[in-house]
Amino acid sequence: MSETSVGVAPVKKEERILKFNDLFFIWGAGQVLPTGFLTGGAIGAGISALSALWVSIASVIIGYLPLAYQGLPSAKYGIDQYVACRPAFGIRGSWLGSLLILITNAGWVSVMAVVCGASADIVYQHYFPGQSAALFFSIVGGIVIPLLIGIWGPNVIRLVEKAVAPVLLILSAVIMFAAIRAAGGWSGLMAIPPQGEGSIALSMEYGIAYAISWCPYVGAWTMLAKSEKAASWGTFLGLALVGSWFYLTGAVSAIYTGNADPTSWMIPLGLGIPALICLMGGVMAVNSLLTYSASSGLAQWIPYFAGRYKLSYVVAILPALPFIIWSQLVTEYGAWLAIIGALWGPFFGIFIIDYFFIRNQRYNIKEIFTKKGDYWYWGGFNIFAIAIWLIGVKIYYMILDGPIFSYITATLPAMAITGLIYFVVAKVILKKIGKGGY
Amino acid sequence: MDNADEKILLIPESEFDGYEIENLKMQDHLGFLLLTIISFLCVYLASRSI
Repeated sequence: MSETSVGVAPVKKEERILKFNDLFFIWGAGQVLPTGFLTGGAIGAGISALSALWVSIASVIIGYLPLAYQGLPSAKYGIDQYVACRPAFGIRGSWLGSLLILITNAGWVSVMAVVCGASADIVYQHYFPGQSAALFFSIVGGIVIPLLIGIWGPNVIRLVEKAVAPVLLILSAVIMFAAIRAAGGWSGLMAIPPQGEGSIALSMEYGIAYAISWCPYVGAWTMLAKSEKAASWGTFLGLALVGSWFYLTGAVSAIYTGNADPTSWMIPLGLGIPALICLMGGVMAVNSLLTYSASSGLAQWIPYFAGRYKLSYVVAILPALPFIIWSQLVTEYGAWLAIIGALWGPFFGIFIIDYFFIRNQRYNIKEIFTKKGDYWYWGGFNIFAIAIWLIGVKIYYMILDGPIFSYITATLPAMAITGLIYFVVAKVILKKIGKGGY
Repeated sequence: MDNADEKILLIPESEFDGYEIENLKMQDHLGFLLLTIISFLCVYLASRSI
């Protein structure tokens, strides 16, 4: 008892209330995001409409399959994602996940903020021709308003999300309909030759990397699942069905307009200012939602922030500011998705291999909350896991830049290779020296 | 960190029992395997229609 101290308590079985339907709708609604349009736009660059259709289906299946499994430790033991990372990375080493989520949150928030700023600027220029204030609108719409929403806590965020999600879902249907109609029907869309540089591998990689970016959020909900079946199928189908629709909408619009940026679609598609305003609302909702998750990660990483929600929320959103001013993550959206794949793919490769193939789906739940126990490794850090993660990031870029990328893409192979290296190291070294409870 | 963490939680050892739920069944794994096969078929179709 005296040694049992560190962490966030597991949820008891009787308190886990989410069934398949609940998880399906949580993830389905959570997937209704402008980022899906952007990713779809990237998928559609350089390939035909029919290829984009098949890629949209294939990349969501392959990309979200790891998530169906990765949320299972949280479901089995009722523990949050960061807590579930402790056996693999160490009780303190799991902070790596919290740090990564802060970095990636800054990127996503800035991407969305720039989309919001560009949308608002088009509306502004409509009423005040010749004037531009995109940066100002980016900061107000992407940071200030999400800050005002999120500061009131998760209930207000959920309310805003509930209001905005159906609007964006309708908008996606309208965009799809308008793009097909403008192209002269589906056959007209098919006849448009591929524009820009691209390939099936690159489009697949964008779809998969975007899917993997959901990994750090999964455990927060599957920890409340009634069964592993509900956790895996509810998460997978909710994310994959809505995700593929948004990919396809983005891809079709990008193929028709020749531009991957959603803000540039609305005028050519005849949707005008109301659509841009819907897009801006979506950005404000999603940025408050993402920052809420990042603030939870911050509280795990730096316990000073535990119980200081407002402060952690402000600190979590501010790193996005320089990225907004830089604004290159939108123009280089593909490179941003590659960063996501490089950071999170190897991280969850280690996590999944550790749980399923080394520990045979069994954690010692008491040790997860025990200082200087099985999962303490060296001062709370599994330095081998962290070093192998770094190697995995390097492996990702080696695959991405190499000739083999055209055949295997990069995120999933980097996940598998990193996990395999960790498997060997855990079996040969960690087990032998008695670290990690293997 | 430790002081702050202790504020969050002290779990009595007796409360560590009974947290586990059942693992995923074989039919679920087979379902995901089938989906994987379908996804490879989609990649093939995508490469044929570029």
